[in-house]
Amino acid sequence: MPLGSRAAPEPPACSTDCPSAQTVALIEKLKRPLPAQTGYTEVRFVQMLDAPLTLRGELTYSSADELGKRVVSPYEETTTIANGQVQIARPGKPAKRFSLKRAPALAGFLESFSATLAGDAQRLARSYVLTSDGDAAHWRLDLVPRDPALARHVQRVVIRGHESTPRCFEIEETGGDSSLLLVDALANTAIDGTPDRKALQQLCQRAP
Amino acid sequence: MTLRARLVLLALWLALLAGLLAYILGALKISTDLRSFMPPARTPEQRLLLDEIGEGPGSRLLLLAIDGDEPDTLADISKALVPKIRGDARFVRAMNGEGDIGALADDLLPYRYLLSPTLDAERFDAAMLRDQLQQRVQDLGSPAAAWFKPLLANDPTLETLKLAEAWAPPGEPERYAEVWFTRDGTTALLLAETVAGGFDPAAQRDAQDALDGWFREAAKDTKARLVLSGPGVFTVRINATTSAEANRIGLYDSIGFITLLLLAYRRVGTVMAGALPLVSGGLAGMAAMALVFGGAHGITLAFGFTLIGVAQDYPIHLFSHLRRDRTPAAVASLLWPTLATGVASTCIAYLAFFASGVDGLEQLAVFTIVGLATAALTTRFGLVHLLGSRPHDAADSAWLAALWRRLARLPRPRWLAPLLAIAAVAAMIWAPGAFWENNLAALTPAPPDLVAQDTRLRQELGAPDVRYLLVIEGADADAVLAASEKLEPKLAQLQRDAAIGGYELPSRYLPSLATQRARQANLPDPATLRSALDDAQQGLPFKPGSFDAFLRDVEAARALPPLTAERFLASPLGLRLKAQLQPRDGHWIGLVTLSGVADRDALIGLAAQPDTPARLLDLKNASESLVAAYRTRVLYSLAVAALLLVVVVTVALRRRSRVLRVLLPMAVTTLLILAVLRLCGVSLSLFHLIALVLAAGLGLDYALFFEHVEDDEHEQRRTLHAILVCSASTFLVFLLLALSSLPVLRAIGTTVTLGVAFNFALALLLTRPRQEIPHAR
Repeated sequence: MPLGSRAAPEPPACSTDCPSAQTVALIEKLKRPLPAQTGYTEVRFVQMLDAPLTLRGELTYSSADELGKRVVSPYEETTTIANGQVQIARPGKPAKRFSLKRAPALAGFLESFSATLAGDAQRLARSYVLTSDGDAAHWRLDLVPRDPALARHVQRVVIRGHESTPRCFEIEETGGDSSLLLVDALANTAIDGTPDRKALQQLCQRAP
Repeated sequence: MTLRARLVLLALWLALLAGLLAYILGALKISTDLRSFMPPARTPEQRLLLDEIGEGPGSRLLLLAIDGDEPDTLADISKALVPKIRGDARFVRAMNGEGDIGALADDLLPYRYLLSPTLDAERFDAAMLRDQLQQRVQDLGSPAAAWFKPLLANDPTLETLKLAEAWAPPGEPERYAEVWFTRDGTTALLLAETVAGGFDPAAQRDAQDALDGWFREAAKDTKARLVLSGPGVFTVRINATTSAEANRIGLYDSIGFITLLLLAYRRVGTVMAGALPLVSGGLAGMAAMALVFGGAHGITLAFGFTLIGVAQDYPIHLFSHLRRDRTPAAVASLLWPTLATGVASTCIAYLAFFASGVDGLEQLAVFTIVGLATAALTTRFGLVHLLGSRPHDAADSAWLAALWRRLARLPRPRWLAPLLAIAAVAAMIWAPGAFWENNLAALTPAPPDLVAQDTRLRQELGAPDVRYLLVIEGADADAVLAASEKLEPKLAQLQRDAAIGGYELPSRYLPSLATQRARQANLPDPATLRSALDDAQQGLPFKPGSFDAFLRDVEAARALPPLTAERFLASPLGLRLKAQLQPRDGHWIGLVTLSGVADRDALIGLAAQPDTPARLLDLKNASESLVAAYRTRVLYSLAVAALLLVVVVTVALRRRSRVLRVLLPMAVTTLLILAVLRLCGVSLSLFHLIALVLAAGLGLDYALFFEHVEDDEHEQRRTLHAILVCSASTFLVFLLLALSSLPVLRAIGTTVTLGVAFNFALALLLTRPRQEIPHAR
C-alpha cells in the first residue's frame, strides 16, 4: 500500500529493480519546501469520450498526505485529500467522501507527487520501479507501481521536467485512459481545439 | 446394622444416584431463553414481544469494535470477519459498510428503476438526462472516475448508487478503506445480528464465542483487540458474574455449613451421610422434570434448588434426636409424624403451582414436590440405616440444658401476633416507593462501564434504539409495505423536528407493488428514450452508442413483473429486509426501528394519530407488563397454596389451637419480612416471592417441631438442638447471600435471613405449648 502504511515497520528501501544512482540524484534535486502551491492544466483522455477533457485549477500541497485539488474551469470542484480520505465537493451538491483506496489513480498520483516534492528517492523506490532518461535540463522519470493492487489500475506514472522542476505528471491507467497534468511554468499552457497527447508529451519534454 | 451392611447400602445408594445423574445428563435439556419461562401473552404487545420479535431486533444486535492496531490492519480484519458471520446459521446479518456498490444481485439489477425513487418526481426526458450526463462528464474528470466508470454504460443516472446510499443504515458511521470506523479513525466498527434473543445467555454466549474465534483467526499476528457490546453481551456478562458470585458464596456457605454440623454432631461420617437426602432429592427432582417435560428452564432449576434447600433440615432433625438407647430407625419412626406433616403439607401446597398454566411454574412444582418427598423418604428409610449406633447425644450438652431452661421461662405473649401483624400491614401500606419491581433488569444491572461503552458505540454506529419500535401489521407483505410508505413522511417530519435521530422502514428496501407499477409507468418507451438521449448528448463528448446498454435495461424494466417480497427476501439483500418484514400466522408484520429517540411523547403522539398505520411498541413496558402478569399468576398460586397448607395442617393436627399455634408464626413472619423489606425501600420482585415461600416452609418445620414436644426434658432439649442447628445453618447460608453485591442474590438472601430469624423467634414465643411452663425451672 503506498499510503496508510506510514507507521508500519519500514521494509528495506529497495531489493530488486533498484533505481540507478543517477535517478536517485535526479529525485533528490526535486525537493521543495512545504507548503507548495501551483496552478495546473489537466488533460484527461477517457475512452468513453470522443474528446479529451481539459480542466484548469490549482493544486495545494501542504504535507505528505494532504493535497487540495481545485478545479475552476470548465466547472467548479474541490477535491481534498487528508488522512487517506477523499472529499469531492461541487457547488450546490452534497460532498462525496470516500477512501483514497477507491481512487487508485488518485492515490498513485498523490504518492508520486508528494514523494517527488519531498525529494525522497527511497520512499518512491519502495512503491515504484524507477527509471530515468534525458539530461539535467530536460529529463523524464518513469514510475511503475510495485504494489499489485495499485498496478491493477495504474500502469505507469511519467514525470517530465526541466532542471529541478517537474512540469508534467502523466498517469497511464490500465484500462487505456490517461491524464496529463501540466504544472509550474506549463500550468497556463493554452490548449486550442482538441488537444493531442503526443503533442503535449513533446511540449513537456522540450519546453525551454 | 453391621458395618459391612452399611457400606453395601451406601454403595447401592451412590450407584443409584450415579444412574440418576447419567439419565439426567442425557435426557434433561436446559433452556435459558427467558421467553419460555413467561406466561402466555394476553395483550397484542405481549404477543409481539413473545412470539414474533423476541426482544426486538435492537436487542439482537451485537456491536463490534476493533482497535489497537493500524487502521489498514483493522479494516482488513473487519473485511475478513463479515463473510464468516454471514455464512453462519447463528447470525441473521453482518454489516461493516463494505460492499455497497453492486449490492443489488445481477438478476435484480433491471429492477433498479422500480426500486429507486428517482422516477417518482422526475422523468427520463432530454433535460433530465442532459443534466445527468453533464454531471457524468465531471465525474469522469474527477478523481473518483475509476469508481463510476464501470457503471456508466448501463446506468448513466447512477440509480445503483442512489439505492446503495438509501440502503445504508441511518446515521451511517465514517468510513476508512470502505469499512466503518469511529470518527477519530482508531476503531473499526461492525454490526452483527444474532438469531437468538438478546436475553438468552447460552445462545448469546455461543454466538459471541464464535465471533471471538473468528476474530482471533483474522487478527493473528496483529495487536488488534475486539470489544463486543449490546444487550446480548450484557446478558452473558451478568450471567457469568451472577453464577461466579453464587458459586463463590456457595463455597463459603458449604465450608461454614459443614463446620457447624461437625461442631453440632462431632461425627464426620454422620455429617457426610447427611448430604445424601438433599442430593437424592435434587437428582430425583431433575429426573422427574426430564421424564415429565423433557427439559427444564435454567431459572426453574435455580429457584428449585433454593426451594428444596429446606430438605437439608430433615437429616438435622434426625441427627439432633439421636440417642444411645434407641436405634436411629426407632428415633426416625418417632419423628416421622411431625416431619411427614411438614413435608406433606409443603408438597401439597406446591400442587397449586402445578395448576398455574405457566410452564416454568409447573416445572418448579414437579421439581420441588419430587425433591422434597425424596429427601424426606430417604432420610426416614435410607439415612437411618447408614448411621452408627454410638451417636453424639445432643441432650448431654450442658450449655444446651442451660439455654433450654432460659427459653422455657420466656413468656408466651398471645397479644404479640395480632400486634405485629397490624404493625406490619401498616408499615407495608405507608412505606415509600413502588411496591413491586417489574423491571427484572434492575435486579441484574449491567456494569456501568459496559453501559457507557455501549452508548458510545451505539452513537457512532447509529444503531437502533432497544426500547421503542413501530409495528405495522397487514394481511400480506404488500399491505405492510404500502403502510410503511405512508408512514415515511411522518417519520421524516419527526426526524426534522429532532424527535428521533433516524428510522428504518421496510419500504426503504422494497417499495409496494403499486409504487413499483407507478414508477414503471413513468419509464419512457424505447423510441422516446432514444431521442431524449440523443438530444441530451448534443454537445457532450460521449462517443455514439455509449449508452446502448442503458436503453436495453430501461426497455427490459418496462416489461418486468413488479418485485414481490417473496422474491426479494430470497435474494442476498433479502436478509436485511427479513429483519423488518416477516410472515406470521397468516398475516405479515413490519418492524420500523428507530434510532436516537429524543422525544418519547412525539412518538406516542404519532402512534395515536388515526391515520398512522402502525403501533408504537414500548418493549420495556411490554416486558414489564409480562413480568406483572407472571407475578399475578405466582400470587394466585401462592394464595391457593396457602389455603391447601391450612387444610392439610388442620387435617393433620386436628385441634384448632394446635393448628393456630403452628400456622401463626409463619403467617406473621411473612408479613414482617414484607414490612421490613418495604420499610428499607425495597420494591418486591419475583425473587423475593420465591424466597418468601422458602421462608414459610422453614417456619412451618420449626413450628411443627416446637409444637410437638415430648414430656421428657431430654427429648425437649434434643428438639431445641435440632431447631437451633437448622436455623443457625440456614441463617448462615443466606446471610452470606444477603451480603452479596448482586441485587438478585441479595433479594433471596435478605428475605430468607429475615424469615429464619422471625420464624425462630416467633415459633419460640407463640408455638410452644403453655402447659410446658410449670415444668420449667
